[in-house]
Amino acid sequence: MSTKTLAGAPLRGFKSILEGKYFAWILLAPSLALVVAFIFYPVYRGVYLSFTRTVLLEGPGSTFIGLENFRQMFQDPLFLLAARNTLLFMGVGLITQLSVGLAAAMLLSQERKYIGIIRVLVVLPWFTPPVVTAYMWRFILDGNAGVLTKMLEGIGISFGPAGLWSNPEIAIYAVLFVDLWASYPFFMLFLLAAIQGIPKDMRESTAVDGANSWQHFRFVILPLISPVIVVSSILGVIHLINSPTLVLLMTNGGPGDSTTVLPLLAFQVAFQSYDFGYASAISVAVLAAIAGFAMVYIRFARFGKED
Amino acid sequence: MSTTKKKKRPISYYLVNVGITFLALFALLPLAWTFYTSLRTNLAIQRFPTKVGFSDLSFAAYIGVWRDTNFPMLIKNSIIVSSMTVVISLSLGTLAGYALSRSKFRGRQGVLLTYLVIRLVPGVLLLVPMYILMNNLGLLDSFLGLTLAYTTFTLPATIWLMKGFFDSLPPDLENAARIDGCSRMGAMWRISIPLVLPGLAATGTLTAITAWNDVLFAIMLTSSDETRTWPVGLREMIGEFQLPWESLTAAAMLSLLPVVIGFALVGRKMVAGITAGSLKD
Repeated sequence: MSTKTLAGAPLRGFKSILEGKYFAWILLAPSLALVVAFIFYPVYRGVYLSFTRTVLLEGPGSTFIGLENFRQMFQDPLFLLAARNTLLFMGVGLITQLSVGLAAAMLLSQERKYIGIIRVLVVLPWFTPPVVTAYMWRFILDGNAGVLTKMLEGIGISFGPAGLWSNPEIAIYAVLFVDLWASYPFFMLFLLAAIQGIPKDMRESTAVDGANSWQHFRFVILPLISPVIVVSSILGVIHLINSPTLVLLMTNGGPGDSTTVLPLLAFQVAFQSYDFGYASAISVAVLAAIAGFAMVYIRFARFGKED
Repeated sequence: MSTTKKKKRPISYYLVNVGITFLALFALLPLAWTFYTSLRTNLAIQRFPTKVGFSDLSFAAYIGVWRDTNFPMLIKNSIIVSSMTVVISLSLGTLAGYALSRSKFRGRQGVLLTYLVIRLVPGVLLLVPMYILMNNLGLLDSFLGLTLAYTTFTLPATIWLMKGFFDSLPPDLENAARIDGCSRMGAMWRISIPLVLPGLAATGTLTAITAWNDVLFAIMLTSSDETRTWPVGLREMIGEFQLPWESLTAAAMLSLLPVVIGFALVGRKMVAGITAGSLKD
């Protein structure tokens, strides 16, 4: 491309660079620089730290120790418990959030009065600050003052005298329920978009063929939205593995260690024992778990087919 | 749908209505109950946990939280950090989104993919190195440090969203401006940006809420009262003083208020940010 504008005037200096073939890269440079500095470099650094002994309380230096952190990790009962809890959190979280999300998307895809407002309204929990979500539900499910606890007791469901949050058997399911409240709208949005992308007259033609609503859902809608189910599930699973925030705020891993999940463990090791090397090793384990899902995601996301 | 169908509706029509109502209640009832609690007295909350009554309600807890704790300071800090994040994230994101929308250059697919994959990087992996990096840069416990951390998380969604808004503009307008002698930057600034202002508002709100809500990086990157944001401050207040329920819920409602306002204004456009880039539409 010549250094002339469409109007034909010659260009000089900085202006000519902006008009030239590097235009796009100049606009992209600031954001890419930020990503390199605050994502790429930290990721590289985090992986490197996982092969070192870096304990802040022993001094700022780090010693390369190879795979020692990982060896220690697989012998650490707390890590194994956290890994087990993470799997449970992921599995139960995905199944509950995906099914509620799908049901909600089916319901909200119907045309009704005010449906536009409701479609937005039900997403409010997703945007509610986690601190609000966490303490709100801690309160609603509190052993003494919790309205839901009392109502459940009224119909004969009791969580014991010390309440839900002191019960190591069910505390994790309580957190999962709260995460369902906050996160199912994420699935709903994806699936609703997919369902709304299906042409409306499709139902009319299957009705002519004698298909009932269930058959229409099972043999028309479900196959059509299955790529979006895969994509949203992967993103949802990554979110579930990834975010210790609710657990941190609601139980901080307790009672005992019954709700400790991997990212929370990494956070605690890093900022309570200041063992940066070991914390990084745990984070790398989380990364490894996510990487597999991420690759499937990249293949499945409709990405790359747009041009 | 034909009008004759509307007169006699099948049962399923009403079942769907019940389902939709249930969804709305599931989302709103907990928040409504929390608001109700914030207006009650601690004694009433403890003694009659399930009672619903409209006498003896007051905003005393709100006044108490605002006057007797450092909550106003926490809110102020959060407003500063969120605003800075919006400004930086929107400026960089708009430029990048525009480039990705308008230019077909080599490496474009790679850049788009990068911004898609970044959203998958586990936050915990970044925690420790980000802490070290901010420490080395002297940005620990500063507004700027927290802002830069948030910007990196909000950028991918911002870029994908802005790209989408620019994509939806007809290119003819800009071409006309260019033929009239407008520079590329000029065409973007004078023609395209004004047309995507509603999208910019929605993206900005989404960014602000992300920064406003974050707990994890705020716990890690701030330590003093002067920079601490409200989620960290509230968490500590609850731990230290055993905050009574009505004060806790009042503080929670106060911090939720900006989110609800933003949501009410641009919620519909904002929710598109969640799926941006992941779906072909």
